[in-house]
Amino acid sequence: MGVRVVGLPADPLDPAGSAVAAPDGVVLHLADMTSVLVEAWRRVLATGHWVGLHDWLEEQVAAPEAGWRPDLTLGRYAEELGPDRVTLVLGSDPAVLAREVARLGGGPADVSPPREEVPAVLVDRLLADLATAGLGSGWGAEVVADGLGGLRATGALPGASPAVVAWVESVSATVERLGLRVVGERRLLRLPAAGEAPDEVPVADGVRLTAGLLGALEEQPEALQRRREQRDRAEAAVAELAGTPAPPGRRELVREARSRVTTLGRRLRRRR
Amino acid sequence: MSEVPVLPESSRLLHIGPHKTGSTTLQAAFHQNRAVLRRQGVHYAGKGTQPLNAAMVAALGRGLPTVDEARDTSWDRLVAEIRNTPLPRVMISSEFFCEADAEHVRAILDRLDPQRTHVAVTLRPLSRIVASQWQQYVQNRATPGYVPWLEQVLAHPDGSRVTPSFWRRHRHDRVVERWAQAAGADRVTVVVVDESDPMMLMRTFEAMLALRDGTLVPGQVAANRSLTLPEVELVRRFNQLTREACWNDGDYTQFVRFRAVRHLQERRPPEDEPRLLTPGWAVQRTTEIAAGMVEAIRRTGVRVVGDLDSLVRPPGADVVGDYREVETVPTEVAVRLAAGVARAYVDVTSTPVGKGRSLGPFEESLRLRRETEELEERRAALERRPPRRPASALGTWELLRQLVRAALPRGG
Repeated sequence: MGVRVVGLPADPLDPAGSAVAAPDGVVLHLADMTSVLVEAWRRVLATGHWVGLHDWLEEQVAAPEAGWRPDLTLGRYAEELGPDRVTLVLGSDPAVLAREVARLGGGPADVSPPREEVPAVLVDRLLADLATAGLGSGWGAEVVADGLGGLRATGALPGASPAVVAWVESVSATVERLGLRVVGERRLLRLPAAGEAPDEVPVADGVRLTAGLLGALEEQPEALQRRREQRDRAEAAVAELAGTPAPPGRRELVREARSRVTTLGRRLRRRR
Repeated sequence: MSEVPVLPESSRLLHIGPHKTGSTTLQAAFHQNRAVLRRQGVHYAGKGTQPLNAAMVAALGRGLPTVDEARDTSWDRLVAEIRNTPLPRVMISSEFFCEADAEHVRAILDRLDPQRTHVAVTLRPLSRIVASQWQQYVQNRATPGYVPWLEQVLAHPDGSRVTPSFWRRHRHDRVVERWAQAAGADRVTVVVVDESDPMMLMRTFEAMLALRDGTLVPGQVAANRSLTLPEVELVRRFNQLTREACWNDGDYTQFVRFRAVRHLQERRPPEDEPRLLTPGWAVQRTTEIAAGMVEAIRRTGVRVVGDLDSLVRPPGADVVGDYREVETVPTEVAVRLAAGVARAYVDVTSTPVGKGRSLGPFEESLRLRRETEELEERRAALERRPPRRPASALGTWELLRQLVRAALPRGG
């Protein structure tokens, strides 16, 4: 999602949400709390740190100030611009976002690349399966996170503890108290009630899960050429650095030291 | 029914399938019992369960999409291995040999020595083959649904535009005729698989190769079970979405066929999960076509082990039934397909590119990305090294510091 932000850090909202500046205010956008949370967690995976979704959520609950808080970010916008100049769009319809930006005199809002919308339970189960494969961290976590970037996880989060649900409620309540203009369904600020994890999902959701993973990693042929060039440049740089002369060896150091001591001795003798 | 022929020493037994006739189980039994076979004078050709790529090259003139065609010497190497074995009998098995046209059949026999080669063809009822063969096509990126596919294929038993390899493999009469014409009818044996006796196939091949009874112990067949209806439908609908520009057959083979589908097959589906059934009209049509094939096979005069008439008997309720549209899939199925692909991202880039491998654009992109990241890390490490100057350019204190460091033992 394209983000043009006035004066405030945008990254906690992007791309699960976005902030678009317009002449008469700013339009903030959040899809729904489930996808926002899953996206924030995915970004942790992208750093190479492998952590389960539910474990990460528990960490947020345990450290509410240090953790990830969309309400605090929204609060900063409200404080900076005044709540009447901040519009919060809830939902995933890009047309609504564009309309609100236009209402405040802004140009067309950038539209994020399409993502495959899947039930959050599938993303959660997918990670559990991958964890058993011992993908661990580093490259494995990064590449899985990139793949998950092609998905937008929505709906209930089976397995979320009561503490997590309560934490999300408190975040939502803070957002409500900010008094922003809200467009869209307010229920999206809360986690949908999670019953038992479903045994079955619509076949289309299953297809979207794999297609989204692949789609996020696919590249157009011209990008492939750019990757080849990047790799070649990196290889050349390594070859050049590796080819520089080695640091002086012990023998060379000793010879140099002796030579300097001899020279110093001569100078001292001459002075006498 | 004929007696099982015992092949003389120096024979080469070439099992040509076709597909879906029990060949995977047979090949696994040969592969997993190589040591015992050797002690009884039989060499099982190839390194794995079957020399799939070599057989494709021999029969079709091209191998797997993941193999670089220009550097593919797999068939030549297999022939050399067969010629060089000191053991008196050789078994070669791949269902891909059945797809050879007359010209390729002659070429294969010429390379293997027609005087020493005996051909074995295993057969099962066509009505039992259609469902699993369609599944296999889906695992190779096909997109037609089962019923439309059956309508197309069964309407054109002389050759269908949809999946043209189907009748190349399963006009069993023509397969037998092609090989009998080139090898001689007395050098071809048809083995009709007995559905009620799973060991019949093993015992027949043991007898042909003069092996002791019970030598071929069926072992673990690596994840080759049929997919359930929800599993195969999920793969098929996923196929409809894969895009051509960034994703070719090599990528599909590597990531979906070899990885994601196998991850699905490792799952143990519950007994009540729907299986793929063939509609009654299609079973009737396959039986009519099979009746014609059986008569034609009889006319070839090849040796037949087993009951040819069993190929036209109507199958049981485990095969026949209405095809139902799939609306939902088990959550585990959806997850396993995706997880198989994601595991492949990491696994594939962790292993070096094998000799003669051909990379699809998707795999190449992933590999380039990983290589670049690793090179960047190396570059950063090299840049962190202390400055490299000749000793004469060092200041006195730096010279002393480096001297002390050089004098200390490593890690000191």
